Amino acid sequence: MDGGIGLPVTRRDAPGKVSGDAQYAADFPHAGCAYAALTTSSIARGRIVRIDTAQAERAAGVQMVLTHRSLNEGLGEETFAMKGGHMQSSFLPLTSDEVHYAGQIVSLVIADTQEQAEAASRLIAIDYDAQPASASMDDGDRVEKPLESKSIDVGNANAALAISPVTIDATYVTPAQHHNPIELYATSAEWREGRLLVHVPSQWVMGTRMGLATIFGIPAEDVHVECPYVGGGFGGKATILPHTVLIAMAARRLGRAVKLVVPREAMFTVGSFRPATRSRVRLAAERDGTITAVSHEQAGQSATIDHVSFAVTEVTARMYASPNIRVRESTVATDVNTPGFQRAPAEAPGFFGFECAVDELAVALGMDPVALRTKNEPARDPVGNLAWSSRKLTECFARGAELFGWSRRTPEPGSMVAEDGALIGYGCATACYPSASGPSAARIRYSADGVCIVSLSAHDLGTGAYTVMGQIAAEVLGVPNHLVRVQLGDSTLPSGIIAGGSVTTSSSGSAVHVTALAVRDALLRAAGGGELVDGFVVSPDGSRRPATEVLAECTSGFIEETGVWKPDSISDKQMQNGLAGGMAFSSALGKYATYSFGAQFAEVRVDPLLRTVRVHRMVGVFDCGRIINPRTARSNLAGGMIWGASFALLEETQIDRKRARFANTDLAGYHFSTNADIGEVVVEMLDGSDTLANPIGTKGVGEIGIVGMPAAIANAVYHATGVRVRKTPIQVEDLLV
Amino acid sequence: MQTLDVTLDVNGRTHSLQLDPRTTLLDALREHLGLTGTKVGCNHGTCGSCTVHVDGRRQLACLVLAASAAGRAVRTIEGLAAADGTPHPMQAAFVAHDALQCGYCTPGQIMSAVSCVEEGHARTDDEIREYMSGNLCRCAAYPNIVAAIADVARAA
Amino acid sequence: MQPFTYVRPDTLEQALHEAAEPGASVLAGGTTMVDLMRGDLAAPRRVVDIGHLPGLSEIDLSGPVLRFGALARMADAAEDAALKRDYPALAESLQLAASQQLRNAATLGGNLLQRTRCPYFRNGVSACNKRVPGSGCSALDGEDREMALFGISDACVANYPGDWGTALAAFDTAVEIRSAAASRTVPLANFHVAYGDDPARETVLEQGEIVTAITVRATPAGRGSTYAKVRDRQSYAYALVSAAVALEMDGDTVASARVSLGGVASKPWRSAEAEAVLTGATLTEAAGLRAGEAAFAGARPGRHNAFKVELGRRVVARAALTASRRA
Ligand SMILES: Cc1cc2nc3c(=O)[nH]c(=O)nc-3n(C[C@H](O)[C@H](O)[C@H](O)COP(=O)(O)OP(=O)(O)OC[C@H]3O[C@@H](n4cnc5c(N)ncnc54)[C@H](O)[C@@H]3O)c2cc1C
Ligand code: FES
Ligand code: FES
Repeated sequence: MDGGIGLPVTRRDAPGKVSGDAQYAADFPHAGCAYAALTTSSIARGRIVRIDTAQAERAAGVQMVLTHRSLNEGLGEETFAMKGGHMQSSFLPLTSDEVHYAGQIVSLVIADTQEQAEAASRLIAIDYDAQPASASMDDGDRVEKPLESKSIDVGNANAALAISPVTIDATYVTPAQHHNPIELYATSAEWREGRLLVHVPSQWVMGTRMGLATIFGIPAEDVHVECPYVGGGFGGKATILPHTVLIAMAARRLGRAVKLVVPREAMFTVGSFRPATRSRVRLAAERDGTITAVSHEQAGQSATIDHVSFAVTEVTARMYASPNIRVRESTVATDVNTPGFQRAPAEAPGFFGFECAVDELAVALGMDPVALRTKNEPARDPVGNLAWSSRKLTECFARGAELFGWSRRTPEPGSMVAEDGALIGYGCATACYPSASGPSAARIRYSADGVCIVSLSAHDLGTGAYTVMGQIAAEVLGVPNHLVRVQLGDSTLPSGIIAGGSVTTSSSGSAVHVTALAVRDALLRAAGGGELVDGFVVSPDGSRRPATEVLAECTSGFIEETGVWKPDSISDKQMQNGLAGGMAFSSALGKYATYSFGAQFAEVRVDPLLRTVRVHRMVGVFDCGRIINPRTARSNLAGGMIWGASFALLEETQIDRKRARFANTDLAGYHFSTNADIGEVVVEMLDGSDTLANPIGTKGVGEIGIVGMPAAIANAVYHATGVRVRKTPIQVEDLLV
Repeated sequence: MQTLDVTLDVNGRTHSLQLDPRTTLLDALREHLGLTGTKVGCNHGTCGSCTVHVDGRRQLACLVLAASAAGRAVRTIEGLAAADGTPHPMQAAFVAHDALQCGYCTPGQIMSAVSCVEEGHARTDDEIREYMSGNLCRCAAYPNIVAAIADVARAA
Repeated sequence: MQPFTYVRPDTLEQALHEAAEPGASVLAGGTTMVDLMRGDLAAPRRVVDIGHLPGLSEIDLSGPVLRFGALARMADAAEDAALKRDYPALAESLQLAASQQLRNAATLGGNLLQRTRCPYFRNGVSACNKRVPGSGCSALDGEDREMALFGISDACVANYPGDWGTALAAFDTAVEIRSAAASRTVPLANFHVAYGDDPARETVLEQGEIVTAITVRATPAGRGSTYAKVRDRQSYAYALVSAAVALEMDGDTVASARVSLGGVASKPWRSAEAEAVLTGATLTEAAGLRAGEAAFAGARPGRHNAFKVELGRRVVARAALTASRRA
């Protein structure tokens, strides 16, 4: 068998992607479509007192101009995804004259061509009554709001901190960041006889369908969301962005298809972003390195219009054995577009501070940072005393140290120098990501011609879902790889799960697994019993016949089953809601504590004179349960690690505090890694199925790769230079000392 | 408003178009010729996803007016495979090395990679990294992209 | 983009005639121009495409004066073997700029004429004296990490982003300019106008004028030259600070020095101060750092870019050391 679980099967979608045939949202043709262009607010808070669209309306080719004055449709109640809805924000632009953040959509021009729409959108004149605004959580007038429900106390951390011989108390900050997928946000909408067809890059076609149906007051079946490929999501395309609603509305009014491709600069404000954070971490230990107290207080940037919190401390609290644990969460509301999920939303920023503090503790103790972590490995979840479903962090560190050559490290900062004079720094950090799952359905048709079609509305964002879903079915049915077909990203298919929180393989993969079992059982019933072995039905008497022969005898020429899977902790009602397009997730903390783990290592090279930093190589060893496809999983993890390198050294959405707006809103100003920034990247995945997590034994892969990397790099920079930088990005000016 | 008669030579075929002079080569390909293999990631020259060959050299289609491209040989990702459909060795190498994830930057990467080898800028991994840095990949498939190009360069 | 008429003349004479029309702009490689038009930062009524004009793309390094046709492509110049050997600073400045795709399209003349990357200029909404004279300068109390420290004023602190122009400033460079009626040659030092003086005006080029060539007086210091560029990421980024240094050495002693700075000024910035320190000095890292210190003595840092003074000092030292090894 060449296409089953654990094999490095070639990406099923690769041929279409390298030939240019793969169609992304903005690639679908819509006959006679009109084009839209946005105008966004130049102020950050206030009201629109005058909006003059006359010139734009007179411009060549213009069909319609939408503003808050012209928008009067009665719309169904939808809301922010984190409040149980499907929208990126609870505020829908053009529904009032209020301006809540800079870059808010204030008008939409529709014209016959792209060029006409863009030109006309610049002819709209707007007067504002501007109010003072704050877009930074550091602004003096901002108040920190504690979230008491997120507090955790075990023992008495403050008391332990007061009496322990070695302590660390430091504050770390991370900036706002943007997803910046290479595919721009884009929406094409068309109404055909009361039914809405939408092409939009989406990590959640079922949620998008349900949300649009609610807004437009039509049955969910009458909304078709098609999106077979997503050009990078990273969380930014998980929810319905407001412009999608506006484009669908414009298309209905005009009776014509309308297409919008959002300009890169507007991507910073018409969607969501990773909010800034501030973490105070205090650690205490005995002189032998036994940790006696862990305290982590995180404040996260939120929005005035929507409360958003990414509570990382419930994860960091569980990293090390400590009798005393104290964590707190709070948020700071700012005048910005609603922040949202971005790759490891809580963990990536939160682990930066936390894992730098662990390194600082190792330095204070004069102890090896790997040894310190290993010494404090908890046998059970130190907060709730749950057993781990699996936790092989110590093995990850051991293997990672070996792969990396950690033993070559001399602890003194600046003590390692390369041949060309560059300062060498070695650093490491722990990575962890909760492993959740949710309900999903799948359909499998196995036909007499040997072809097996797996269909579900899950998503492949480059994560490998097209490949792994087929492998899970092939494993059960013994179908050769070239006869497996997979359909995803279409709301007319059986309900897959949102591509978020690293849940796709565990959830939709489990659904494919149980459905494949149902197909197998039906096949064996049709064959009159026996076993399915490598695509052959082996009857109790030992005789073998190809499964396709049995299928040919079925009247339809195929067997088709639709199956559903849900985690135990999800009720039937939650499952129904989830399958219809609602959000339904199990927690990582159920009967067991279920997390993916990783040990991450970085070597940096620092120019001794210029103090520029280069990531020379990275090593990551991960415990992510069973790996369905090592090839796609490795790419995903390596991509996450490179995100971590960008996080550490490059990424920051600069906030102009005076104007309360994002400043560097293009890809020349918002830096993430180029090819030249990345040296060697080594990824290894430990063997091991975690069947306490789900029937196929997987934990999440998509997000953990980024989690420990920023701290590993910051720790390596310290090791190279002796300079402890407690912020990201670490820039040349931070090291010019 | 001026309407221009523009004759574009794309992948060896001649197309006569009537265009608004503002139309970029990228929009002419995508919106007028339906050649959506060339992707749009910024429209400002900052990402590389719109990379095509103009008279045999890689360029960014978003910063070229369609009118300026008239009379030049334009090659896009759709024109890379052999006439019988056999993928170009670079396309095959990208598949073989898993040099893509979401695939959105991929046509631009491949067009750029083909030039990178033709220009003689693929002699070492570091040289490939530098000469491929005009193609951002947010999924960060960089290590595999380098491996795919090095492979093709070795064979060439 | 606002509507325009597109013309593509066949000869320089025709192009000069077209370019003289009110509201006309020339288009060479288009990598700045199309981008600016997209943001309505340039809105010409007539676009005169000169990118393909014959006879303006030659690079001639043979005589006492090097000649770079204005339409020569950055990539071609960057890879010119003789230029790399005899004037590495010039070749490197091009090689370290933009990306290969951009360098294939972009011209040497257009490169000199690129406009600032200041986000307040580019975003089309914030107050900016360059975009809307008299509206104010948002960078003064905004994000100014990337802004300039020389040639600025309270009216504008934007940075000239070009690498090629910066490297050329370390040599005796002149710009050859034609109009329908006349031709003139302007020393590079007088070609750009510091933004601080009149933000809306960046060069002395008049309506209807076309740059036909860039000339550089041949010098043995070319071989002893380098262009050092520090940026936030390893490639495809503008300079935070850059420096070109061209030296003639007499043993360990600097016989003559030329130094120019990029990423820190509103125009290609020659540093006579650094040159004075280097000339006659024995070249060590300490001497390089002293020259760097002199270069930045007159800097006027803002709120987030003061680090460029320290970084710049070191970049000058690094460039001087590299150049001295080549000289
Ligand atoms: C993403 C990105 C990154 C970049 N990075 C760098 C970098 O790191 N370093 C760097 O130096 N540059 C960089 N650039 C700038 C790039 O080098 C310039 O855009 C390019 O050199 C301009 O040349 P062009 O021929 O395309 O000019 P065009 O866009 O055609 O013209 C530019 C301007 O010059 C005028 N013009 C052009 N030629 C003439 C002429 N012969 N006579 C009179 N006027 C003329 C035009 O009217 C226009 O105003 C970058 C650009 C982009 C888009
Ligand atoms: S779309 Fe052309 S470079 Fe980004
Ligand atoms: S593969 Fe997704 S951007 Fe490159």
